[in-house]
Amino acid sequence: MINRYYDNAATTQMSDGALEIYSRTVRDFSANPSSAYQAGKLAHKELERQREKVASLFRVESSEIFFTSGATESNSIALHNLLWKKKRGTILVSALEHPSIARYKAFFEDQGFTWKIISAPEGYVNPQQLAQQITSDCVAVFVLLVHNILGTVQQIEEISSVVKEKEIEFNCSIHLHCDISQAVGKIDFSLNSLQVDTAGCSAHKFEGPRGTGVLYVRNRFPLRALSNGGNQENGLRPGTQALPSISAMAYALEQAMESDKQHLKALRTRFEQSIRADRRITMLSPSIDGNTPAAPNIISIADRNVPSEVFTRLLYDKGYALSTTSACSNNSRHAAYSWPQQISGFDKDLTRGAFRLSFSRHHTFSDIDTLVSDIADVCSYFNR
Amino acid sequence: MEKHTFLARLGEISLKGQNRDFFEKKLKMNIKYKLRPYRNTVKKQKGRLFIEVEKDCPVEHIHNVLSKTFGIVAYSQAIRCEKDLESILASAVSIMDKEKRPRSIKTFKVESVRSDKSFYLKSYDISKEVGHAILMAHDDLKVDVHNPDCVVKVEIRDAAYIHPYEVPGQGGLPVGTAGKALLMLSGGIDSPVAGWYMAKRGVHQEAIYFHAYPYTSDEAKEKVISLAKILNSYLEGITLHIIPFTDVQLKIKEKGREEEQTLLMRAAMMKIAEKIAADNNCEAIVTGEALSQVASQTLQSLSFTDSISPLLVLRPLIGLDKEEIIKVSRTIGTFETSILPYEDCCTLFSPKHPLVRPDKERMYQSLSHVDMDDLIEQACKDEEIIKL
Repeated sequence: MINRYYDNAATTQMSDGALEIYSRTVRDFSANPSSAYQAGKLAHKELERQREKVASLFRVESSEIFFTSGATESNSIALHNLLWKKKRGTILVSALEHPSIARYKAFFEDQGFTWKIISAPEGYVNPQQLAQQITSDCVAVFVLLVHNILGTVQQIEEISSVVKEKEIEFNCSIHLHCDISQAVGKIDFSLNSLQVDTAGCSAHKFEGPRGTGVLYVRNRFPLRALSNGGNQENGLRPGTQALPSISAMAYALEQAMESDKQHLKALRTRFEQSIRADRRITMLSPSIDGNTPAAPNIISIADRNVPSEVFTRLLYDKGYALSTTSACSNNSRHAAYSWPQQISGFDKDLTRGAFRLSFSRHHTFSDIDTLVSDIADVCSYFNR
Repeated sequence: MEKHTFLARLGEISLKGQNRDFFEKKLKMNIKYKLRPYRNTVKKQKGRLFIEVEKDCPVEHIHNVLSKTFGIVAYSQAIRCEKDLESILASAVSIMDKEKRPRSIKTFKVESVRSDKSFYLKSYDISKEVGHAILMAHDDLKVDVHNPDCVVKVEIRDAAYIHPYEVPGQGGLPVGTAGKALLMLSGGIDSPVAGWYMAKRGVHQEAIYFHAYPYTSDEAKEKVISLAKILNSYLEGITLHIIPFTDVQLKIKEKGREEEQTLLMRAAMMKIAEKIAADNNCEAIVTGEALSQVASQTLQSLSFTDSISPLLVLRPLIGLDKEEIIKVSRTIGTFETSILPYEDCCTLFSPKHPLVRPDKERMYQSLSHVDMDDLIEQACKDEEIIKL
């Protein structure tokens, strides 16, 4: 059967294996991991085993892994930590950030912070330009690893060294946070080598369950809780841990990290080659074989003559699931994603027609060929 | 069998001369139609309508019907009782028991009307007796004849009717008394309001909507259906004609000058509306146009679109500001649906600089150059009809 689900960057279907682990954990570890009796201790032991597993997959220490409800909460904990500081300085946020960070602008400005956008021409933050933007009052830098619309991969290691140099230059500490949601299982990386202070992701982006995610906090980095009322997760994230979800996430993470990224890349290459032959379609994402790093699973394309929500309507009719990235005045309030205005380098007609396809490792060449032919059909309808 | 009893006061109809009967009959029919399937009787008695509905019918439904039926100025729910003083006093006291707390009534007055002159007490005496009874039962109430919190009305007719409040109705004339028109319904704020204004003057309406899939979404169509449903509560069964408009629009885009696109589109719509109106015995077209609201609604633009069809075009909003239209749209309950974000025209067909002062002769030339008569014919044939 042809797989027409191309919205894996929005969410993925939980894998059978993860579901199996989920049910098994529900049955086998029903006690509260904080309880003192035997069953509670067993659940606690299982929880810590999962933490170690997640930590080792990310190549960090288990004391650096905290379980949350997902990337949005992880991002929020990182952001809110800034409120505890006496200093009200500048927060530098990349133009690529997900709304779970970008929408905090007004809130932090109300709190006395200066919120500055780091430009990202064609989807890339330039570390050298960032260096020039960091001033002595900078308190935090937020840059994601893989952009959710273009799939561009940021040079976080370089950004991290730039931030460290500035910390020494200005004798201050700058919180570097990285949202890794779209990167897990799509590109090879280790959290350790990113050299960030905090990072976050959601399990449902890599075939794990919804409502579960990870917050990575570098050892000895001072971070305070967003909510209080319990001592779970070392006091950082109170609430009884959802052990079945956490175990299922750890399993899904292992599968994602060890999956064959070459297959995703081969799918992407095949798609790119076919779509390039069709002159009516323009790629907004960089080529996977180009000079700039890109995640193989996310690609944004456009027919510059047709608004994206009109173009995708016919693809929806054919059973496809995908997201429009443009916000034509037609239904801007309902567009799944609006084209981030700060991302420069694309003309207006192109962004108006842009929509995103996100592959999964389960797609086949035959799926891709059908997709390309259906896109060509739709193009023909509009260019008749 | 116990029944809900309502009294409705008629407005403008009462001023009608020899054809008053026609208006009253139509109003009775409209009320009966809307109250179905509940068994009901609607009787006319001396300037009032007496509406009795079987007890199974929820009171809210009756309120909903009467508050949205044109021709009724005000109505009230009444208690019907025997025409003897004892029953009248007991009913009046029990009504006050029910009404006092929820309406925080502190003062009241009693007004009586005696259509049945054979009743042994005069109106003034009825009021005096009823007022006395209420005061005896409720020692915390006072009479205030100038500015009371509650007016208890007692009417002596075939029986005694007592009612403690009046609900304002829509006014206007019964729908259908002014014939039938075709409403051009888009998904916006204005057109449902235009439909409501014409319904208020007694015009029954069918509606026409131009759907350009995939350039406009099916959600936009659903939105228009929802609007038609809301409007239908003021009418007596609305028929919605959905016209597939994509091919016409594409032809205009292909062959028309960019700045003329909107006007050519309006012209095509008028032509189609004229045909649908003729096929369905509609004597006029109703639009939500307001002077100079957009480029296609300037005097010159309207003069052009108006000249496309010989049919009478009614534009009840022509002199209203957007704010005024929005206000009515909120009152009649269409606003929340109208502002749903599914718009009726794709930006692809909206020229950046549309003509504001078109030259009629030149527009006629463009119209014949685009030549869409066959497409218009086909669109009318392919219409989808939804009866609500």
